[in-house]
Amino acid sequence: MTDRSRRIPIRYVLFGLVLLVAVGFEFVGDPTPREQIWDEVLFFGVWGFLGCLVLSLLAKGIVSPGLDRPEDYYAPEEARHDWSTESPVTAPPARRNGEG
Amino acid sequence: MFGSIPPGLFFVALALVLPFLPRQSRAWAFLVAPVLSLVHLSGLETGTTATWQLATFELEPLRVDRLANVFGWILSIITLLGGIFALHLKDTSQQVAALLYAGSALGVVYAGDLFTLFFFWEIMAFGSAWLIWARRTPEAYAAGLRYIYVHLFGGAVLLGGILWQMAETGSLRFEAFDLDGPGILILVGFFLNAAAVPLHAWIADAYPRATITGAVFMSALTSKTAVYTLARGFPGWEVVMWVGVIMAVYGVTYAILSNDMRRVLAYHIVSQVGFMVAGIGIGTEYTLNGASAHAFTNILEKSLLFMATGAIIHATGVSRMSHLGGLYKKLPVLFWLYMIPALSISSAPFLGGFLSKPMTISGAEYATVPSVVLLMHLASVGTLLSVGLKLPYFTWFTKPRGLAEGEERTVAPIPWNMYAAIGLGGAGLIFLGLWRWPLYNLLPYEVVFDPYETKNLKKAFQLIGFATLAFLVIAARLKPKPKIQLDFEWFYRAPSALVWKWVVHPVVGVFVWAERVSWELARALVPVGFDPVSVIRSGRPGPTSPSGETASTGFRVTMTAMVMIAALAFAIILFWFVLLR
Amino acid sequence: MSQIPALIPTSLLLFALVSLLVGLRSARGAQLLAVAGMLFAFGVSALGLREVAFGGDTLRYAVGNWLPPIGIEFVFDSLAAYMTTLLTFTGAVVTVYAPKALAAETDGRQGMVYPSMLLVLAGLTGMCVTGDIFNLYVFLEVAALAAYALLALGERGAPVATLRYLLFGAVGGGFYLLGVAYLYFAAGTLNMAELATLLPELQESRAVIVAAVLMVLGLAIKMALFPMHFWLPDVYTNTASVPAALIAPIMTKVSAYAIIRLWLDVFPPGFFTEGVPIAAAIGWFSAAGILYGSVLAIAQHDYRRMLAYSSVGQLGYIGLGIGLANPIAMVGALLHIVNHAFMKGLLFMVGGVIKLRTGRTRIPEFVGIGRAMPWTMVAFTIGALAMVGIPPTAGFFSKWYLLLGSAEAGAWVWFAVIVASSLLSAIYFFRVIEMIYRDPERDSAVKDREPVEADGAPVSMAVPIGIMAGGIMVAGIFNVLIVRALLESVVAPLAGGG
Repeated sequence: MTDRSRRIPIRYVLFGLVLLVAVGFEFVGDPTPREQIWDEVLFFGVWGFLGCLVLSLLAKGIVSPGLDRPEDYYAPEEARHDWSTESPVTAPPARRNGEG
Repeated sequence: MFGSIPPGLFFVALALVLPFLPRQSRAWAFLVAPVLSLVHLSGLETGTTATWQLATFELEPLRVDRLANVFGWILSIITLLGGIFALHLKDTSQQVAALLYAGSALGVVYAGDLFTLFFFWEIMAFGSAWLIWARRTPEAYAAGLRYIYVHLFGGAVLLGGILWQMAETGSLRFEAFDLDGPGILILVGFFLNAAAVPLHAWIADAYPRATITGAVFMSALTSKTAVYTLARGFPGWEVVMWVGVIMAVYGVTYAILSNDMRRVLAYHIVSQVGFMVAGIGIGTEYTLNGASAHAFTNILEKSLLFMATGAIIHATGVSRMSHLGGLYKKLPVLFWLYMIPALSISSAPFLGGFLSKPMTISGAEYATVPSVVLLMHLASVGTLLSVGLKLPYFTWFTKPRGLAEGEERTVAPIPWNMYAAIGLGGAGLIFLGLWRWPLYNLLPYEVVFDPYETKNLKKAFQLIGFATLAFLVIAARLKPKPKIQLDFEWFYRAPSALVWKWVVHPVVGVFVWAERVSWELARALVPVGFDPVSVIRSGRPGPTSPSGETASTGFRVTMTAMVMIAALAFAIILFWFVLLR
Repeated sequence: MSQIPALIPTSLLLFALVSLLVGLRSARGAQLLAVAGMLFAFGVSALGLREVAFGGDTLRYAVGNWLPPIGIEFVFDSLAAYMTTLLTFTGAVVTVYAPKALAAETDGRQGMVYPSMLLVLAGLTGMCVTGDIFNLYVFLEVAALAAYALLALGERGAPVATLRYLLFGAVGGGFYLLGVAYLYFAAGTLNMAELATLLPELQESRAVIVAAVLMVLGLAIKMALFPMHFWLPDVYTNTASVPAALIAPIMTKVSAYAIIRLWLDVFPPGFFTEGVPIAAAIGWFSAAGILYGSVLAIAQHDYRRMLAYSSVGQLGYIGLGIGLANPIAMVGALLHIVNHAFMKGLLFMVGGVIKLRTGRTRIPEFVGIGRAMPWTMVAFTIGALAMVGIPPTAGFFSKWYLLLGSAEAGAWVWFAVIVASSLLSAIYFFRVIEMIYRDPERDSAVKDREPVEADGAPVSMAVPIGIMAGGIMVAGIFNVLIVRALLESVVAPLAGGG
C-alpha cells in the first residue's frame, strides 16, 4: 500500500530544482566584482522574495484599504447618459396669434 | 517592394473595400492587409522617404529608419495574429475599425512630419473607441464616450503643441524636441496615449469594457505607438525616466489589486510601458535598444494575454477573478497557452521577454542611479506576481467561485482560430527566446547585451524562483475581491454629475432666461405700440379682447409705422453726426 | 466680356419662372425643372471655374452693355466661382432629395416650393457674382424673401419663427443699405472696383467708417453672428426638412462671403484691422458665439435644435477666420464654408429621413435607428466626424487651417476656443451616435423606449445623402487642390497685412 503522504507532487520537485539552479548560479562563472548592491550573493533571491512581500503589503495593506470601492461605484453616472435628467432648456414661450 | 507607399495605406484601402466583400470572406480578407504590409516591409530600405505638398507645407508621410522599422514589423505581425484571433467575428464595423486603427498606427510610426502624425493619431482615437462601443453594453457605451473624450482632449493638447512649435520654428519635422513650451504640450499628448501616470486612468477604464477581439488590438496599438513617438521625440530627458519608473511600480501595484482579468492586464500595460518610457528617458543606445526590444516582445506578449483572457470570457461569460477559479479541468490547454506569454513577460529564460526587459534594466545599471535599477527589478517582481502568478492561480486553480452550490460552470467551446492565434504567438515567443538574432538585428543600435550571460540567467532564476516562493506563502492573502480601487479617473468621473449640475445647467439657464426676458419685454411692449394713446391716458395698455386684439381708441399706430419711425430717427441721428464731422 | 457671370443668376431666375408655371399643374415637373435649372447653373459655374482657376483671368459682364461705373457689373473671379459652384451643387442635391420629405411634411402645393428654391439660389448666386454694392443688396433681398416663403413651411411654430427672422433680416438689410448709402454719399459710386480705387484716400472720413460698420453689422445679423443670432434656432427647428437642408448650409454663408468680399475687394487693405477694429470685433464675437453655440447644443433634446445651435458655433469658426485677418486663417474660413455646407446639409437631410420614416425628431427617441437604417447612419457618422474635425474629413482640414492661423497670429485664446469647441461638438454628436446604435433589448438603460422599426431611406433621399457624405471626404482629401486652385489667389491681398 503506497503512503500517499510520502509522494511529493512533481510540480514541487520541479520547483525545488528551479530554486536549486537559481542558487547554483552564484557559484558558476567568473566572480563578479562587488560594486553595486545587486552584486551581493543571492541578492536577487532576497530581492525577489522580499519584493513580492513588499508589493503585496503595499497593495493589500496600504492602497487597498484606502481606495477600495464597490464595483458599481460610478454606476449612478451611467443613468445620466440616459437623458432622463431634465434640462432647463424648454421651447420658447408660445406666441399669441395676432401679435406684432 | 511597392515603392514608397506608407505601409498603413494597405490597411486603409482594405478598410474601404471590406464592407463590399461577401460576408463570409471578410474575416479572412482582413488578413490580407498585414500580410501585404509585411511583404512591403521586407523590401523597404531604411532611409526611404516620400514627400507630399499640403498648402505651404512639405509633408513627409513616409520616413523609414531602424527605429520605425522595429515598430512597423511588430505592429504588422500583431495585426495578423489579431486577425487570426478574430476569424470568427461577424461584425464588419469592428473589422473596418480595426483596419483603420492598425493602419493609422503604422501611419504614425512612419510619419516624418507632425501633421501626418496628428492626422493618423486622431483616426486611431476614433477607430479604437469604436472597438469599445461595439461591445454594446451600457458600460461599454459610457466607457467608450469617456475614452474618446479623453483622447480628443489629449489630441487637442498635442495639436496645440504642434501648432505652437510650427509657429515658433516654422517646421513640422518630427524629430527630437526640446522641453520648451511646445515641447511640453507635445510630451503631454504623447504621455496620455502612453498611459503615463497620472494620465493613465483611461486604460483601466476602457480596456476591460472593449470587445474581446478589440481589446487585443487596443493593447498592442495605442500605448506602443506612443512609446515610439516618445522614443523619437524625447530620448534622454531625466523627467521622462522618472515618469517611467513611477509608471512601472504604480501600474503593477494596481494590477495586483484588480479583480477583472483585463483590468489587471490594462494596469500592467501601464507598468510595462513604464519600463520602456524609463529606458527612453535614460536615453543611451543600450536602453533605447532595450526599450525598442521590449516594445517588440511586449506587444506580442500583451496581445496573447488579452487573447487568452478574452477566450476565457468568450467561454465562460465571466471576466472577474472573484467569480472564476478551477478552470483547469475545463480549459487546460488555455492555461499552458496563457503561461507562455505570462512567463515571457516576467522575463523567464528561454522566452522572448528574456531578451528585452532585462536589456533595459541592464542598460540602466550603467547609466543611472541604483535606486532606479532596484525599482525596476521590483516592478519586474510585481509583473510576475500579478500576471504570472496571481491571475493564472486564481483563474485556473483554487476552488471555483461565483457558482451556486453544486453548480457546474458552463464552458462554451472556444473557436479554433483563437487557439491558433495564441499558439502561433506563443511559438514565436519560444522561437525568439532560443534564437534572438531576428529581433536583435532589427534594433536601432548595435546590441551589446547578452541575455544568456551567467549573471543574467542568475538574475532571472533567482528573481522568479524566490518571488514565486513568497507568493506560495501568501497566496491566500491575495484572494481576489469584487472591488475596484479609486484611481485618477476619480477626478473627472466623480465630479461629472456635479459639473453638469453646477456648470452646464446654470450657463444654459442664464441664456434661456435672457431669451425669455427679451421676449417678455417685447410682448409687454406690443400693446403699447398698438395703442399708445390709451397708455398715455390711463397709464396702462388698452383692454385686450380674447382674440388678442386691443380695443381701438382711434389712434392706433401700426407696428410697421413704428419701425419706420424708429429707423428714420436713427438715420437722421447718424446723418447728423456725419455731417457735423 | 463673358456671358458666364450673368448666366448663373439669370438662368436660375428663368427656370424659377417656368418652374412656377409648370408647378401649377405638376409638382413633379416643377421639381425636374428645378433640378435642371440648378444643374445648368452648376455647369455654367464649373465652366467659369475652369477658366478662373489657378490664377486665370476674371470674367466680367456689364449688364445691358452699360459699362461701369454707371452700369452694373458682374464679376466672376475665383472666389465667386468657388461660391457659386458650391451653392448650385448644394441646391441641386437638396432638390433631388426634396420630393418625399416635402410630401410628408407639407400639405400639398409642393409645386410652389421648387420655384422658391430656385429664387433663393438666384439671389444667393447673384450676390456672389455682382460687382456692385447696391446690386448685392437687391440679390440679398431676393434670396431672403424667397427664403422666408420656404422657411414658413413646416411645423406650427414655423411661420412665427420665420416672421422673427424676417424682422431681424429686414433690420439687417436696412443697416446694410444705410451703409451703402453712406458709401455712395462719400465716394460717388456703387461699383466695387471703382470704390477700391477711390476709398484709399477717403478712408479717414467718418462717413466711410460708419458705412463700413453699418454694412458689416447688417451682414453680421444676416450671418447670425453672435449675439445677433437669436432668430436662427427657432427657424431651423420648426421649419420642414427641405428648407432647412437648403437654407442652413448656404444662406448665412453668403453673408459671410459678402463681408469677405467687402474686406478684400472694396475697402482698402488694413481698413478692417487698423483704424476701426472691425476684424477684432468680428473675431471676439465669433469666439463667444462658438462657445455659446457649442454649450447650448449639448443641452438640446431636439435634433434640429441641436443642429441649429451647432450652426451658430460653426458660423463662429468662419467669423473667427475673418477676424484673424491672415491668409491662412481666411483660407480656413473659406474652406469651412464648403465643409460646413456639406456637413450641415447632410445632417439636416438625415434628420428629414428620420422624420419621414419614424416621425421622430427628439434624440432620446432615436434609439436603435442604426439597425433600421444602417447606411444612412453611416452617412450621419461621417457628418458627425466631420463636425468634430476628425481626419480625413473636410472638417479636420478647415479646423487645421484656422488653428494654424490662430497660432501664427498668436491668438491663443481663440486657438483654445476652437479646440474647446471641437471637444464640445464631440460631446453632443457622439451622444447621438451612441443613441442610434443602442439596442433596447440588450441595453437596460433604454429598455423602456420603443425601438425604431422602419425601412431605410428611399433612394431619392439616400443618393443625395450619399453624395454629400462623399463630398465631405472628397473636400477633405482634395482640399489642397481647392486651396491651390482657388483660394490662394483670393487671400493674396491679405498677405501684405490686409
